[in-house]
Amino acid sequence: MIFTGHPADGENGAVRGDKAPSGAQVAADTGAWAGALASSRLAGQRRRLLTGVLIGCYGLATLALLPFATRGGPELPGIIPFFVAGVLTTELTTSFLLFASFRQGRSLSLLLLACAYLYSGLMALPHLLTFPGALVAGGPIIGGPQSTATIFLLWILGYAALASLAVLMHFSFRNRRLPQRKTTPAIAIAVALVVAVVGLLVLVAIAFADLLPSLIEGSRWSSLNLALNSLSVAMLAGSVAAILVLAGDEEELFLWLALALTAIAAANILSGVAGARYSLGWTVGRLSWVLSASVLFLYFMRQSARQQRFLAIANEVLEQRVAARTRELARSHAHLERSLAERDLLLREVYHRVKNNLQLVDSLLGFQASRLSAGEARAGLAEVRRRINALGLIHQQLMQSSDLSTLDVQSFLQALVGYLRTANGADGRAIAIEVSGADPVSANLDFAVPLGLLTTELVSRPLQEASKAGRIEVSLRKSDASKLTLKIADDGLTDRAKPVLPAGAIETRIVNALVAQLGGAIAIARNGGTSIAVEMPHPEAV
Amino acid sequence: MEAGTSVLLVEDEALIALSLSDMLAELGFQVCGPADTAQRAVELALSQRPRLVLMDIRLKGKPDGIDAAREIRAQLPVPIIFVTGSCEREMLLRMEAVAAAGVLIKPILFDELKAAIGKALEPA
Repeated sequence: MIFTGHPADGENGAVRGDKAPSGAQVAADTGAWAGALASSRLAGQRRRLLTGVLIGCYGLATLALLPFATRGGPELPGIIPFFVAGVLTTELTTSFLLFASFRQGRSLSLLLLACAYLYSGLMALPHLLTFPGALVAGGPIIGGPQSTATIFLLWILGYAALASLAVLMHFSFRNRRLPQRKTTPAIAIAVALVVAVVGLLVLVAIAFADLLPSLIEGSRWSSLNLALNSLSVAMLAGSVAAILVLAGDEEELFLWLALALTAIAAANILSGVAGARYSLGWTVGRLSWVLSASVLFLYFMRQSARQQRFLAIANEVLEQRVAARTRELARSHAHLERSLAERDLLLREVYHRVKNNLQLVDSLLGFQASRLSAGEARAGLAEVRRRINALGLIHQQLMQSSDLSTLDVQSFLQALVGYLRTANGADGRAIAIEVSGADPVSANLDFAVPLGLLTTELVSRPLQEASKAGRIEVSLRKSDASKLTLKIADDGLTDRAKPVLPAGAIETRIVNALVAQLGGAIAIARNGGTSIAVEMPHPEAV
Repeated sequence: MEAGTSVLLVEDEALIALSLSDMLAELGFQVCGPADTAQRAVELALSQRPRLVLMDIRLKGKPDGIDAAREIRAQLPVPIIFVTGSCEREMLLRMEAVAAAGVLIKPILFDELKAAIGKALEPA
């Protein structure tokens, strides 16, 4: 993750998912990003130019060395272990980093490049083992003279071929990506293939060295050797040219790769021109190879440092935004709380006004009633006052509820029945009214109003008709998961010969209308007393 | 109850005041007021010295009935029955602090009023 992609991509990705704050804050927050992006683009152009200049200089230096390449130097086979150790360490590390990049970028060119470095790193070992005098005096540990040259040429050809293929694939299929789920199997297959190919090539180079064409004659390269060396140089030079022509400013990895390939090509040219081991060209070629092996490793180190820098900037910007968003949220929260408090206050005031107005209507009816002599008209007004006060009670309960929209129906029934008991003078006539029902029911106005009025009708009737002491039981219970039953039962307070709901009576019409509004059904049973049950849908299930 | 006893009625809603006046008259009390503000209630209480105050809580403007009751109680040892449309917790706590002789929730029924006054005027 740290090493992959262009820093600018990661930078944009970090910002993109977040909602941008507004105005001056945006400008302040994104100033660092804008600066970093602009400097990144400029750096891209400079990087291309610098790469071209470095490659040109490297080529010129190589050309300058060519006349001296054949000069003999001291025979020091002991430098081979150091050369191999340098190449092995840096190229295997680079290979690992490239596989990690491939897992992130999923481009096949990265996979091939990782394979090229894995191949090169692994081939360094057989080179060490087959190089005469590198580890033991007088000859190689394994293989013969031809094995050394065969393995070396397979090494440089294989690396050049894989690296060139990677370059070719990169510029041919820039946007082609492997699905994420296939990256791990692809890496496993690639590693297995490279290890198998290296093993096979080494086996062939050692076991069948005598059957292979001669690549070294005495201490000098054969013409086939030179031809194959030239082929590797041609592949490397072609790749470098392709990168310089086709690579964009942002394709930094491939610009660095061009430097690495140039160094390898220079090594092969110097070694080929030198014509034999331990010459100046051969020794400088080895050094150039070590340099080449370090190039991509350096690229990744640089990327890591740059990512750290961008991460630090991103972190700072993020912290600023979090702080700004937190302040904004705190302001919104405070505003919301104020609005809610205002709404509650307003709603309570509305309920209070409604209740107050109902009381005024009640008072008006009271005056009117006081001017009438006892009789049907006065009784009628008393009925109306009971209904109005039932409505007032609902608003009072709502005013006291925590959410101001639903009320506890059981507690409302308790209050309503308490009022009806007093309003109908039950206390003085030894009529007990018991309210029971353990099932908590919460309801809004739509349910509470018809239920309250219905209860007023059904409880007032036995209270008014009672001619003796007795008991009335009011209950509201769940009949099943979705239904409630309101039951009003007396123990024989009323005259059983008289119909409970006389046909055509105003009370009957009111009761039937309210039952219908509640979506319920009424059932009347008369045994020792009278029991009225209204089954209705549970308000919380509707 | 002693006939002719004076009761100060504090209520800003004219019709409710009229209704309560009728009930008080039916119970045999002389009605003083009604006062519709806290200030007027205090003035009447101090000038008329009633045996009982029937005090609504929400009055015209501010302060409210509880503030008026506190002011009256600070100067007169008169029992005060509060009349309110709601009984919110905060309001109940404030009424408790004034040592109310009773609290009646509107709508007020004749029997309730009679019982509350009877209790408030009981000798301690």
